[in-house]
Amino acid sequence: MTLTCMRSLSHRARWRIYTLACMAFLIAASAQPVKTEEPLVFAITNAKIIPVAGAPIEKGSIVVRRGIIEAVGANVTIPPDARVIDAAGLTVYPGLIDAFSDIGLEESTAARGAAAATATPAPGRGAQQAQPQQQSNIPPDERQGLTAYRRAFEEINPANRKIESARAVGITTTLVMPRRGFFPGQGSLVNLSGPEISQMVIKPSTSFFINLAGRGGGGGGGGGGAYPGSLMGILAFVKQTLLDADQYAVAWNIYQATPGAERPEYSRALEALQPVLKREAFVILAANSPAEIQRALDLAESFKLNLVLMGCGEGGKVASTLKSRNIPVLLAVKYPDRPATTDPDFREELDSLRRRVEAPANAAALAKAGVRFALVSDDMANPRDFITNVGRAIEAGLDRDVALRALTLTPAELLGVSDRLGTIEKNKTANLVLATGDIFDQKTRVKYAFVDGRKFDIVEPQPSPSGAAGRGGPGR
Amino acid sequence: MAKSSQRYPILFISMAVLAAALFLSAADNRAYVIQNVKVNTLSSAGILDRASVVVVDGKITQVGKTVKVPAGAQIIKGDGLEVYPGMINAWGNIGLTEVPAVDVMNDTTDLGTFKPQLLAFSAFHPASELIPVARVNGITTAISAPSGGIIAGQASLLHLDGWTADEMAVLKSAGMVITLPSLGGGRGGRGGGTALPGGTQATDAARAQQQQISELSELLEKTRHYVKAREANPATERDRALDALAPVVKGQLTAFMQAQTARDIRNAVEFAKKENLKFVIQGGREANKVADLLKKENVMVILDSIVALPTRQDDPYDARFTLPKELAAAGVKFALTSPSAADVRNLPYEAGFAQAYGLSHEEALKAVTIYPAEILGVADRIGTIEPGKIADLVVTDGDLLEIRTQVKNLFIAGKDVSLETKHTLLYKKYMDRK
Amino acid sequence: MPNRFKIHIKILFILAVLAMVCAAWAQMGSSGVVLIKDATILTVSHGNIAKGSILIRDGKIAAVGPNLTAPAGAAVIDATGQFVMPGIIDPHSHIAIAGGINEGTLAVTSMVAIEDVLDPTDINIYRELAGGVTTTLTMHGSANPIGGTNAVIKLRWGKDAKGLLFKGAKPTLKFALGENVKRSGAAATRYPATRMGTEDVIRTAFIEARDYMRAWDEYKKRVAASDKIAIPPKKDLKLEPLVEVLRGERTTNVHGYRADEMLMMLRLADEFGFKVNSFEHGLEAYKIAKEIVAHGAIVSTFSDGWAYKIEAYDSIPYNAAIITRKGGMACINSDSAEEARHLNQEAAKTMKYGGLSEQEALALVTLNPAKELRIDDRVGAIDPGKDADLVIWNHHPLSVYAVAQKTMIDGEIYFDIQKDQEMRKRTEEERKSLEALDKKNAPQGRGRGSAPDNFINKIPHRQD
Repeated sequence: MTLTCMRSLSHRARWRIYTLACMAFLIAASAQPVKTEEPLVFAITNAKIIPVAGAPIEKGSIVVRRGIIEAVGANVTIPPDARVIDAAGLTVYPGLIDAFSDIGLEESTAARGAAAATATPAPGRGAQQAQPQQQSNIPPDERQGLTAYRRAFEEINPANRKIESARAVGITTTLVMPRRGFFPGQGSLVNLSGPEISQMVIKPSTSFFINLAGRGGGGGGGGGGAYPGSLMGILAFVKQTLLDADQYAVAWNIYQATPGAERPEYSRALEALQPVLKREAFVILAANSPAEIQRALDLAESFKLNLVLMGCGEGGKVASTLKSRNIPVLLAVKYPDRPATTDPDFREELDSLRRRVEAPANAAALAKAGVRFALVSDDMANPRDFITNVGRAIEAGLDRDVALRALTLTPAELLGVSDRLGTIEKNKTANLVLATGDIFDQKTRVKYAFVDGRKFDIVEPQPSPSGAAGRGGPGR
Repeated sequence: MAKSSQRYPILFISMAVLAAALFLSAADNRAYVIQNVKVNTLSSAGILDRASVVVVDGKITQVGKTVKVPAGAQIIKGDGLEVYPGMINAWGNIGLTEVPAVDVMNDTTDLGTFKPQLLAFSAFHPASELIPVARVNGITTAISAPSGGIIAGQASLLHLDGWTADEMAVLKSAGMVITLPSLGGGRGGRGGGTALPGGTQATDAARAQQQQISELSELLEKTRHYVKAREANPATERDRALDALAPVVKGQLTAFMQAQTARDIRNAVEFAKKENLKFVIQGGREANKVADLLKKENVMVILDSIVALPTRQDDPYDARFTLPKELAAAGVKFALTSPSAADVRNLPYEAGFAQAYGLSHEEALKAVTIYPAEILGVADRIGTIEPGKIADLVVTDGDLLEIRTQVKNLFIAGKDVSLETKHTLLYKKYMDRK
Repeated sequence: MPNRFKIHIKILFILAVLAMVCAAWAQMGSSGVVLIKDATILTVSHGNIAKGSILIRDGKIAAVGPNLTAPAGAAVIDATGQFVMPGIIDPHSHIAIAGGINEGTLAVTSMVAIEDVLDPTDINIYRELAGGVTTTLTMHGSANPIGGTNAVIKLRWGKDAKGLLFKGAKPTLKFALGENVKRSGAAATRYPATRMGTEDVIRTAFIEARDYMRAWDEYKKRVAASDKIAIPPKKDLKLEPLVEVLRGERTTNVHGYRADEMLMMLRLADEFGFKVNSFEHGLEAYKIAKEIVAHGAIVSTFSDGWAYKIEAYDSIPYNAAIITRKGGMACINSDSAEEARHLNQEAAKTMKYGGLSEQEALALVTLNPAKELRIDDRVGAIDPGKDADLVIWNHHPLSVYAVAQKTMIDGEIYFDIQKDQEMRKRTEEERKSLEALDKKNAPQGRGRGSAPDNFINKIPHRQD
């Protein structure tokens, strides 16, 4: 358009052109040149929908706007500004909630150093000299495993591959828990979106973990090594810490209330533990065998803790106790592996064999006894194995709907976020999983995942299930 | 000069008499008669009530209801008492170790993998405090065996009394201790066998085992060539190790093939047969599982202590206790032992336990007397109460295998041995403390 | 009503009554009335009864004597030709503990408690029942001068951890002296490394405990005087048990071998005003019988173990006999899951070594440990009123040939040699069915752990 042409137009026409040019310019300016445009409005149509709240919808639609479910149903009006995703042949589930995991957790360098320093040193005088030098760099709380103030989200790396793997099997929300030490810290509830951690955090702190397995488990042993080394030592250490936290509060209260009172020492860890003692926060204890479960119950009772049990691999054997005490359960599905051996004459111990064969039926036993549980991955290395193992639990008798609920609404309720997550309902967070079939079917593939309304194309080819359907996890 | 010429014959004769006296007193030629005693011969003669046993010059000369009492014999009244053959502890390392926790007191295990030339006899410590304690319940001979490696060395069989190992030796070399490497397996089980280099994977471990067995085979083959070479040309350069192995490959010296698990026992039998060895199995914790094979091949077994916990959680609680009964039922000959050097005195209770859990009394007694003698190839000399055998005898006030039984006399090589030990001396000393 | 009906009703009524009576009988039988009949009874407290019976009701011994008749409904155990003795009490054991028996990282660990980590699934519980043991003191190890608190348990196989606890047993605390604790030379990484240091550690701990008591007393005084700024001391789990020792509320088990180290402990105890309750092993106790008896300490020792360590080189099998003859009390213990299975035979050795009588020998593994643990009002002898913890043997228990036939705790049979045989068959059947299930579930490429790849199928053969 030349100035000559412009001069030939009428005044009105000229202004129209100017306005249009401005608009075009603004539109061009507002479009970010490199970024792929993310529509804020989606409409998922022709889908089979499992809302969990209410009956399945054989064929319906879901409208998502700005990360919230705007509408869901069999007859939903599709807004004109929505990007339509034809989900014919797909089933939509609420995004799965893994209520106890280590997804995305990465040890900081300082933490790795602490782990090395607190490992049992080799015997010999040399070790005695070496220790003080290393330990001077590690704060005492780390050394003792007393980092109750640590919140998991501070250690999540949003680029960690496990986050992607988790989404690929339909997990969109998880409670991540630090694992190191005896009071590893507090769990953070996060959505598996990103790219920044600040965009993922739903609740920075939800509950405390007390880790009785500790550094390298039981054994103790002769002189050397950091206290505690045996299981009884760990229990004594935990009890003493809780007593110290109690006394800490008393001392500070007196100090603050009364002039002339002595000022107590400050302790970050003991301060962080106060909500535990005031019963304002939950305490998660891991326990699998009936004896371990009983130990956890006893510990919780002596300190009046709000207990949540994690693991419960053999919880079915004490289901009635769990039911009568109303203990919430985070049920892991880490089934024991067949023992690896080079001995052709090897005969597995009957106890071990029985435990392995009966493990998948544990969930059904708990459900039958009326125990409320969420299914969790704990520290399984591969999220796909987690879902596979849930499938095995279903084969062993766990009701499919109960299984699904244990990965959606029940964890949402236990975590106090059932008003936002856990079902496909209007006004809930748009965490959705679009799968090619039943989510617990081995052949099913997840095609899309929505987290906070952000669409993720799941491009991972269905990997063959790893050999480690049992325990695992890096840094263990 | 007649007087001086008479002196020399007198001098000579008196010196000769003195020499004779000294010579005779060095050998214990005292004669004993244990009279009117219940004799458990453990031979075809069976049990002889109110009989007598005559001992002269270290040997049993007569056994029977009527005996000729030699002049000057010491009479031991056996009224109400019993006499048994001295027990033979067919495995252990007494004399090679004193206090296991103190390294410098241990001579059982030298460095190296193939040590056939090492001989327990050469390091046997006759003044060990453990020896008098060991014999106190009626054990008269014991094996002392080296450990470690694939060929640990040669075990020796010694009497538990004497000033020097030379005096005590019954067999300077009783056999060669051989331990084929065990394919350990992923789970527990101590099992016999050489420890493989740590951290190897399953197939690596198998390969390592195979290699060590090949090495052993080659060594035996080398020995055979060496034997031929020396026979052809006696000037051939000597090799101590091969010299030691020569009697083994010739089938003259027993190989003690140490093996505990069923698989290791099978391997050991297969190997020994392939190499044409004269052999017995030592250890045999799972010998009952391969009893048929052992019976078929006429393999005898020197067991370890049966008073032990089952190795597997699922095993019946009495799995170790019933092993002797099962072997006996399958017709396999075995010796019961108390290998721990400080606890050799508990050998009769190994037999007692075996009997408690199903072995017959006679078999239990034989398993600590004549059967070990047969297995060690000295049945012509010890193991029963028969004329001509060495006078290794134990006189008791009751059943040899019972705990409450007291030993009244102990004869080792015809000598009435003191039952005083470090323990009895400390007992008296501190009972006397006011 | 027709006669026939009347008759039918009468018959029905009679049948109903009979049924009720039968049910009542059955109930009586299961209400825990048992008669062990016609055995040789070794009461331990008042000699032997050549042919007698024991009546048990509700888990307690109701009557003992030569002429007892079974009440209606009682379960009768015919023990003709057999021997009954009190259940064996092993006062030094490390079975049924989960996660390590030692907290060896610090020199003083009185805050750790064996009771917290009982493992009721330990197969050694069952194996010891088969050896006639009914109660044990399951203990912290000997890695520290002051170890942890111990637990007295009955071997109630099948119950959970709480179900094992011997309710009302006096609390105890483990101490250790000598080689295990100090690990001299190159192996030493933790103070103390000498016997001198061991004394120092124990002394210091008791001084701390005294200071702790004082601090709490002072605090309480200040509170009573309405002092608003009084801050309570920390409750210290490590010092509480030591305070209980000083107050006589908790007894001490002191692992010691050498005479001089035991004398050191007696001296220290006298200084702080508490008693050494028992020396564990105390292998040289016979050298200082005078001092030990004067103090009133019990010697809980081995039958004939010796020479495995240098501090055991002067150990003699006459130890228990000497202590007994010098007026003291001895127990025989196992410190071993294996040896615990034949403590009766270990006790018999004291008849050979030292000439103890049959009654004295039996007491070493029954009444004496019961007294040591302060539970002799309930166990350790066969007397009316005591717990029905009994063992039936096929031979006299002090014979090498004795094999336990039945072991009873609180009137319930926990080991039965016949049932054990039957159980083996059932175990095999269960194994077969589980293995079949396992195979069915396993290999569909689900990656459920290892498969045949991990097995070496061929036994390696020499290359020819």
